[in-house]
Amino acid sequence: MTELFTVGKSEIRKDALPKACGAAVYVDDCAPAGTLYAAAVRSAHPHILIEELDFSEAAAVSGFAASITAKDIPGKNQWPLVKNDYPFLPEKEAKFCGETLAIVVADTRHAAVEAARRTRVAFRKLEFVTDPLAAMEPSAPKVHGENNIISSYRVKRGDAEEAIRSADAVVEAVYTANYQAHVYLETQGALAVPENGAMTIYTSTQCPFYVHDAVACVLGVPQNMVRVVQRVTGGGFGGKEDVPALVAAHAALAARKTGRPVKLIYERDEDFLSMSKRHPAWMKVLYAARRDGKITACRVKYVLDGGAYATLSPIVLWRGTVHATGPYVLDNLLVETFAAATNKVPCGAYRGFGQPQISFATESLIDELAAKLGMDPVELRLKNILRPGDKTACGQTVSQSCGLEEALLEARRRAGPPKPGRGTGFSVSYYGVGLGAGGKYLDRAGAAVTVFKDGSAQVAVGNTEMGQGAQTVLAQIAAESLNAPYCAVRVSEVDTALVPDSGPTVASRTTLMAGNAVLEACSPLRERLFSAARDLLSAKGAPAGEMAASNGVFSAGGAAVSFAEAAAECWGRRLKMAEHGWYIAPPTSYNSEDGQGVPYVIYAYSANAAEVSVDRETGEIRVEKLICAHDMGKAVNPQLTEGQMQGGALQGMGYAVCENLVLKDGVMQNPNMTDYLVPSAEQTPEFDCAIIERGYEQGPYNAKGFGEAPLIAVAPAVANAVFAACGARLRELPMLPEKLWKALQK
Amino acid sequence: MESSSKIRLGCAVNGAAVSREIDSGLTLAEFLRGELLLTGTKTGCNQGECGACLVIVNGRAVNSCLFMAAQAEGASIITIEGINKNGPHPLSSAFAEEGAVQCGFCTPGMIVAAYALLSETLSPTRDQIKEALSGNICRCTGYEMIFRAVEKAAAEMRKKCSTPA
Amino acid sequence: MLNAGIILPNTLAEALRVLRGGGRALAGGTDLLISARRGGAPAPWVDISRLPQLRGIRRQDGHIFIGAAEKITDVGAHPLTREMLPALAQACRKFACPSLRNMATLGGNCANGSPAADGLCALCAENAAAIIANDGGIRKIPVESLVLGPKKTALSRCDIILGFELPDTAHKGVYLKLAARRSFAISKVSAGVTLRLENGLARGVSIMLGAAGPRPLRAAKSQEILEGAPLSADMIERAALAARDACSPVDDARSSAEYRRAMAAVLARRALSIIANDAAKESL
Repeated sequence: MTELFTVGKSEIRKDALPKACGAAVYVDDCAPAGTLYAAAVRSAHPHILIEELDFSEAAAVSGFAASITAKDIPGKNQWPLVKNDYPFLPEKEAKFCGETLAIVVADTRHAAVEAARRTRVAFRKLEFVTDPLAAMEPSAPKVHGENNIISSYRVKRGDAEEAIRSADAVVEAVYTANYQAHVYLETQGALAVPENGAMTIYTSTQCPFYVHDAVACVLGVPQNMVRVVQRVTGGGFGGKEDVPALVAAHAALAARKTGRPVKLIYERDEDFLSMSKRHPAWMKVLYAARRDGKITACRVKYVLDGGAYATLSPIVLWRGTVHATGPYVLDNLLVETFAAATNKVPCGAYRGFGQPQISFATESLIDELAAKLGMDPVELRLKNILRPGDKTACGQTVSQSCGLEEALLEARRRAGPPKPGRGTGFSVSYYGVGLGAGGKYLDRAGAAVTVFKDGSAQVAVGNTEMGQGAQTVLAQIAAESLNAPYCAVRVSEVDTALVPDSGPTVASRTTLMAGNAVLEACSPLRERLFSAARDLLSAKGAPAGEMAASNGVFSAGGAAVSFAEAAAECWGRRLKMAEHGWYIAPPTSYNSEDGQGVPYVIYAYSANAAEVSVDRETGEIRVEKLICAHDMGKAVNPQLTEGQMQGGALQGMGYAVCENLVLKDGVMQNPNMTDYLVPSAEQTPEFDCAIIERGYEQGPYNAKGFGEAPLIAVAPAVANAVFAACGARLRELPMLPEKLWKALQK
Repeated sequence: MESSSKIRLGCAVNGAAVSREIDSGLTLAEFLRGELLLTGTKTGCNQGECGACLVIVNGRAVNSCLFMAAQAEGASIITIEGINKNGPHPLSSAFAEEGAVQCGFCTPGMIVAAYALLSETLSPTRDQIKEALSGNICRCTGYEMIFRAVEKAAAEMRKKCSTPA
Repeated sequence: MLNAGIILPNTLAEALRVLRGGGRALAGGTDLLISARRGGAPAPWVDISRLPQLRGIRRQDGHIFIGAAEKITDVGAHPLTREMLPALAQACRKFACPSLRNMATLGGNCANGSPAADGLCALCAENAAAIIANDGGIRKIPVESLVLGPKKTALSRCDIILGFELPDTAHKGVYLKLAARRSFAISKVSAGVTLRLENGLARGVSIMLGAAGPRPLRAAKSQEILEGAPLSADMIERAALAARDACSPVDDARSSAEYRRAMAAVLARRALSIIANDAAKESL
């Protein structure tokens, strides 16, 4: 295979310098003249019947422009998302504390906030339920459907009950995990600009197409009358997958009613109160094994707390279900999963998407099994992990692109021998890249590549840059394919006018899906460019035969031609220098009865090790070192890959030890960064990251996908390390000092 | 509700004298972003908890979201734009080169905090860097590459100091 | 934009006059701007941070004077603080984060009256008195009498804290803080300890607990136990347990009462042990 000149290199990312100079433009950074500002009126109780919304005092605020309620919706008051149960604005019933009841608009942000404060909401409190297990009881107040079960799945292989009965060792325990809030540094926001009867939305988003669908729906206009342009997006992590559509719909309604551009930017507390979260979870898990450490059965009951509306719960639950048993060879298993509705903030996508919770449970339990068997936890894992040719819990055959064993061995090697005063813990995980069988109808992506007359190239895709490096990676893929210099390729923010619905930027799918779409677009362009270059070289006297193409230069027999010259030649010949690409994910399948099939096209594989020290008197856990070994097929940009490893690991660490959202009777007590604490600079552990490349032939340059894997199994590695350090087994996330202290008192 | 009164604010921003009549209720962040259109400074929480809004006032880093614009009367203010006004500052270049930038929203505030540190010492220890950045939250990078970027910039700036002009 | 006009008075007399007319004193703003955003106090703000009477860190009349409007950064870095007020110096270094230290003031920290406030707790541990001015004149009260309950102080809207008066006698001091994050987080519980060691015996023992009750708590029983006693492990343990018993903490989103109570003992013990160990090292 020819040596690659840019793919595999740590090119400086495209958007780094503008961001570092303060020049990047986020949603709140610009607005046309005449822009009005919107603010939300929110419910202050978990479940209410709205009797009246009185805007008379609000209207007296100087600069007040308009109020918007459900009555002002010209289109359909139903957000088109999965189960379609979430109204854009409530007609009568609001189901969680923080839900948007109405929007007010004024000429300054200050006036809009004041108008929202002065809006009088007359309401009646209704019965509410906050515990997901209680919500599934027949007597519970109804939040969703007849039984509050948003979704439910089952995976079954062999005979788990029999295997459990005849096992030599059985461990079973209940684990729980609390919410995780994304705390992207840039809060949600949208700018809606009405123009010529159409609406343009500038948004901070991972999915401009969900925004597009929602805005067209709420305004009751055809999709070709709405255009969505993504602005530089200040973090997402899944929190900007679906809910930006709601924010944009509100801004669009306000823009339509006033006929003016309207900007809606969330304050931090309302972002906490009303926007998506990682689902809290209750998990009862069991592993059964033979004396020699061969695991013979796994049984899982997994309940997610979905909140008041379904949003993405069915899909989060599905991914969690498929991966629930862990990356192990299991002939007998039973997995039963539920997403229950409660009167709390709706939960949705967050890096890992249903896997971090169950991974905490199963990877902790594996260590409990190891303790019971008197085996080393790494040895126990080595005896049972998936290898090429093995079948997953869903019966899928593991391909050659599986570096799990290598990752685990590498993690162990780097962890070294136990250190005095510290404990080391391990975990493994796998991650199905892409939307899989659960999202197959959305799993397509487009690209549009143009080579300009001067040899610069533009790549437009439907998948977004949100900090993970998509623009850079896709530019490298395009450059490599075209033989353009990396610096000549530009990937811009997503614009629905340029590339059609490519699905959401989630599921670590961008490198794979958009990358392959880019390659498809580049392929005919490459042919034309290479042919033109060959001709130019001949004209320069180069002999016929092999032409070398690398780093934007074409050469043969001492003569050289630049990419720009080749491009100019193509243009001179009036060739078509703009092409589209479209990639559809390979087939997947999933049997709803027993979960068997081919749920994902390919998997990334990971192993983590955590080294912690514990203050036994205060219960404080200090994560000293995190070792992250991951197989993502091909690291297109190793520096960006390592950045995902470190950033994802630190989010996993926060999830494990300090991020704690507190709700009391359905009301959030700490919707702010003062008391919902994410890791700060002084908590950074030492990182030791290993890139393992077991290529996936169908991936662009053998790449798989990678944004989420780094977070998934950090928490159990930390929990296992805590056990090693002080003998306390914590089964609740986050592992607050109060909890460890209490456990150590016993 | 009474509307805020107007006051005249005179200060220096990024080396240029500024004199404006403003609403007295403006915060420094709102003044810089809304009045002067210097949108490089970000607001992430409006509670002083994230550091995205950091600017330099009279040589010290402050949270501009909690600083009334009126209190900047006579002050010298430097924003991320000012730090880069003669081309990319070594900090901005180092951040770009070392992978210290992902979504970029924390980056201006982070660079301002680092700038304040480097104006006190060009040889900061890792612990000093961590402390100087302890009020700047980054959700994307895990901080390690940010520390390396600050160290790289410091080394670059030490070289420039010791190289004869 | 906030719902408050702002006035910059040139003199203390002008400031007091405006306050009488309905203004609200503002210095660093790190607490006030947050509450204003939530819809608090539309009264015009009176910026007192530049008034000379509220500035300066110096020896004066046998005491150490710290101006109420001095920034936490400057208080913590000043040679007088570092040499003579060790608990306060440590508290300043642990306060919030560098940029907030550049804005916040001890005056504001006290006037805000949070039981978790580090500056407030350390000032009490250092036996500080607050010098307060209003139209009627100037009065001096112990800082620990300033706070009556959570965010409730003995100050009226027309009062201005001019500064703090601290004893100018060499002593040992430690400030320890336990929070959900090692830096930049509000205390779950804190302990400020100052004392002198004379011939191996503790004198002038001052132990304050922060976030352990509705106001900063003086662990009076602990002080009694240690007064005139050696700082042995045994005595320290007794004092720590007494500190635990002195607490009346709450359950809140940050932590539990049970944990706070237990940690009060841990912090008190650790603070006293640090002093004892340092003293032992010095005498080697």
